[in-house]
Amino acid sequence: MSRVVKKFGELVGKNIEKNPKKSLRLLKAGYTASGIQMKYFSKHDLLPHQKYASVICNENVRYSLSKPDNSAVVNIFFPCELLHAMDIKPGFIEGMSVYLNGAGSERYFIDYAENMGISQSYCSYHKALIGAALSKVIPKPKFIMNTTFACDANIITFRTLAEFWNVPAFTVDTPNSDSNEAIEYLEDQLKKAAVFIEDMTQRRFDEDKLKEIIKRENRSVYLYKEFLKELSYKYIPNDVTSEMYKLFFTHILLGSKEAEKYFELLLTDAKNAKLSDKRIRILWCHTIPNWQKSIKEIINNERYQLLAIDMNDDALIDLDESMPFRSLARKLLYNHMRGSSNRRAEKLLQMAIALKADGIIYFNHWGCKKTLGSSGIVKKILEKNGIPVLILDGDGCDRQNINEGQMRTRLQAFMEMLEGKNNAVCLQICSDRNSSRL
Amino acid sequence: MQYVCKYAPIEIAAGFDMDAEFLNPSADNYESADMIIHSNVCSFSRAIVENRLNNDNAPLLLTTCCDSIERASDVLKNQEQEVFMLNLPHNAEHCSKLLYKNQILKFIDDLSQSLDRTFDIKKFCSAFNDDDDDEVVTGPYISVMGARLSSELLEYIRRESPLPIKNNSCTGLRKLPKPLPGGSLDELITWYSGALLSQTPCMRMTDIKQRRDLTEDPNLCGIIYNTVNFCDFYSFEFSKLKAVLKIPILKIETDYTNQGGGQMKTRLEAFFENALSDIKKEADHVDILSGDSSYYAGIDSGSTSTNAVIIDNKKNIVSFAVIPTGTKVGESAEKAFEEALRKSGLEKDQIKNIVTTGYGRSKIHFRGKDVTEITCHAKGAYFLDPTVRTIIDVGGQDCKIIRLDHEGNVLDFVMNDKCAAGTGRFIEMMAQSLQLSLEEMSTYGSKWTEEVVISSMCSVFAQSEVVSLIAEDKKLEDIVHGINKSVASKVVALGKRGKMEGAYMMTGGVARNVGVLSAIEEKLGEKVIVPKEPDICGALGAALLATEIFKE
Repeated sequence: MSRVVKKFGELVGKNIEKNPKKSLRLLKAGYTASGIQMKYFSKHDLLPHQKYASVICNENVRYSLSKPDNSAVVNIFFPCELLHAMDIKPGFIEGMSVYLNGAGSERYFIDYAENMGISQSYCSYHKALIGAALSKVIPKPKFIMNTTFACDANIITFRTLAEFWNVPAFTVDTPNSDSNEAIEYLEDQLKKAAVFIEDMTQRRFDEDKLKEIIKRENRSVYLYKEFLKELSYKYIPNDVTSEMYKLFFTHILLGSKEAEKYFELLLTDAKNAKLSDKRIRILWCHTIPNWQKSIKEIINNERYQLLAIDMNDDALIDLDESMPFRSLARKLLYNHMRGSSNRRAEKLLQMAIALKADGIIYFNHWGCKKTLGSSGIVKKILEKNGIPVLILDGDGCDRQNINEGQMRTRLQAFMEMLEGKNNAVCLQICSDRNSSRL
Repeated sequence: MQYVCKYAPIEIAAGFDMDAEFLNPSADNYESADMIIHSNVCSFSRAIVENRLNNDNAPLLLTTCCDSIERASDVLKNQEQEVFMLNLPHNAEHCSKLLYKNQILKFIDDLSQSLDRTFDIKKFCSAFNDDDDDEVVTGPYISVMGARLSSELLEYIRRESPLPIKNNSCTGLRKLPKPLPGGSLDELITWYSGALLSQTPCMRMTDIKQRRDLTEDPNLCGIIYNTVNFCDFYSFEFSKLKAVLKIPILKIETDYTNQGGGQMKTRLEAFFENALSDIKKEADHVDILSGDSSYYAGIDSGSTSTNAVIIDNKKNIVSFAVIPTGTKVGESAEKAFEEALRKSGLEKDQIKNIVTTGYGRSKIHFRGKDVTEITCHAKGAYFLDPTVRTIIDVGGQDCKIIRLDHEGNVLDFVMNDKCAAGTGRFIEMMAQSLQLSLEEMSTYGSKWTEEVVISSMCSVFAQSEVVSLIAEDKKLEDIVHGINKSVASKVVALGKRGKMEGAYMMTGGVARNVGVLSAIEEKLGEKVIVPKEPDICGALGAALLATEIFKE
């Protein structure tokens, strides 16, 4: 963390109890400044889609802070197409917490939440946002919408926020099955969610607009799938922060005009990219602590291709716009973050094969019981299929809950191992060629 | 058929002539489980895995009640164990009941195929009986709430509590009515699904309004609130109840191992001693005698040192002794007592009463009575300075924050969990890494120039962080300052859970560490009183209690 960010974080943190409004003003000013920097003075080595993403994501977070009356707080998996159809802007807690981390202030909010009795073993993305809400730093939204999937924290966090802010909340109970009956159950709830939004906005739910959004989503998904095809044999420069920005577009902004433009730029950049050459190709499972020095230094390196995080390809399927609610229900249940460990392992395997990954880094985010609990099974299945896996324990959002030195050693050793493996394969090919010449 | 969740349709087992067994195992260790499931999932899930890997097992019926249980199910299924997993809705609405009904019907089919037997509706219906296994509690009672707890701990609480106990923990609340006779299987299971989902909700359900009934009972005198290590559901409710309820409430955290019993015992005993004093048998006490001097002793048997204090009937300290606790608690206590006697020039038979406290309090055979260190510290600190409202006691093995009212009664207390961070042991570990003496650790930090952050919350990781800082050639003074700040932040964070307020007094051996003391003062933004002999506060409190005779 740079000295400026550290000082800034301290300033935000020092005020959260005595003067929360000042903390909010500081955060808003900080994000506005970084937004201007991204828009007009961004890093030269970023690709057009990456520059665009940084600006749009910044705008999304600023909107929730400055226009809360037209915002809903959601979780990353909530089908925000319903909100886009009613021109309500979603702000998702995971994204907002990452921005609190970007401002060097997450620990102050986490401390606040823990002092209010939130357990230390709780997910830090959720804890940081709970701290920001309970300290009255971030403003209350118009309403709250969330799914019970993909983790228990959704039930706890949104109930706490709704009670504290005293705003209406709607929870979509996501069954753990993709049977027809489960789809119908979910479809019914999504329809009720639309009625809830009607009540909140005092406007009739615009189903035609929802269909338009779904059409746009299908176009975006098509562009993204084309991108993934390009990615399977090319080197498309990527960095950990850009890959995290992508989560905005593959989730809460999917179906929006901004997302469609993002995927157009993404595909164009991919088409202009070079062949992969002999770079080590890494698939990442779960979120990336994009603020962590060791991870940035090792992964944001031209020798390696960061392919994707699995969450950026968790539920990208064609939707039937004539049945928008049913389609959204199907999409939610299709997500590989739902269900058994074996299901997630199978998806990772498919992705690794399709993207020609040399190895997978499975990030065990502190507090994410589902990811932690699956790690052994996933590693076993993938390694059985010849894919090396590094289980990396860490924390996606809390700087104080990591051991930088240890993580660096593990990550570096894994990359060295993969390089060694690649070199051995090259040597084997060379030696085979030489022997055939002889 | 084994089950763990109150929403599990376990009466179905009877329809197949099977017994239902509530699986609630504690583990000596997680040796087998740790090989296949991460140690940071909830301890109860790990206990299930550990138990099932080491025993011959009946089929296991689980629900998707939480993330950790889902993963325990995955792990066990991958070990070829017979696990039935039911998809449990998060509410009791009409559609949810229908969805769960179909889950139960599918479970009947699956079981029928697996056993090659047909389902007997009559036997199923007979599994619902009127007999309530729980003893009926009438009148004032203490409620055990929160997450599930081991049967051994529940039994201990029942045994020690001055009032009857109601088990209102997540699994203690399984109550189903009897089904009405007649009707088709479909109708019966529709009713059954509704009855299961309509029980008093646990915290994973979205609508938990009905839980208010658990705390809005005039006979409820106190709550022991249990949380399970790495289960996130219940600490939220605890914080809320703590803020709004006027009755005493104690939070305990269990990890489903058989370890840490001593600390748990201390917490529970202190809760019964202090928080429930008004409902206990009235402890009427009188000051003993006036006129000729009589003497009383208090012995605090701590993990690091054993301290003895002798006072006279006018509450003057006559002598005290501090000796390291050896391997035998009783012998150390005798030595400390003899040392204090030697210093005072008194003989054993001149001591009218002895009260013991600390971890080893019940192992000292010559005691008149043993009292927890919570009560004794409160007594001692208030005696030394009646303005004190919060005691910060940082000892060798644990850290306690005790809040007092204006009369010196314990209002509330919190203790650290089974973790060395924020304790004397943590400082010792760091001193070892830095090759400094404890005296040097105390003073080095004052000469710091660069801010160094020890970020890890875990002592073991913090030690490796310190080693990395040494490798980075950071100044010892800066590292020590970082360590002091880390201890202070852990201690103050613990205290904030107990809503502490000044005046503060720091007791325990760590109070002698001026670096930690000033870091705590900086965090609190307030001066902290340190008694001249901070180690003997507990023993002094015990001696003061010895001057009071309890009428049976």
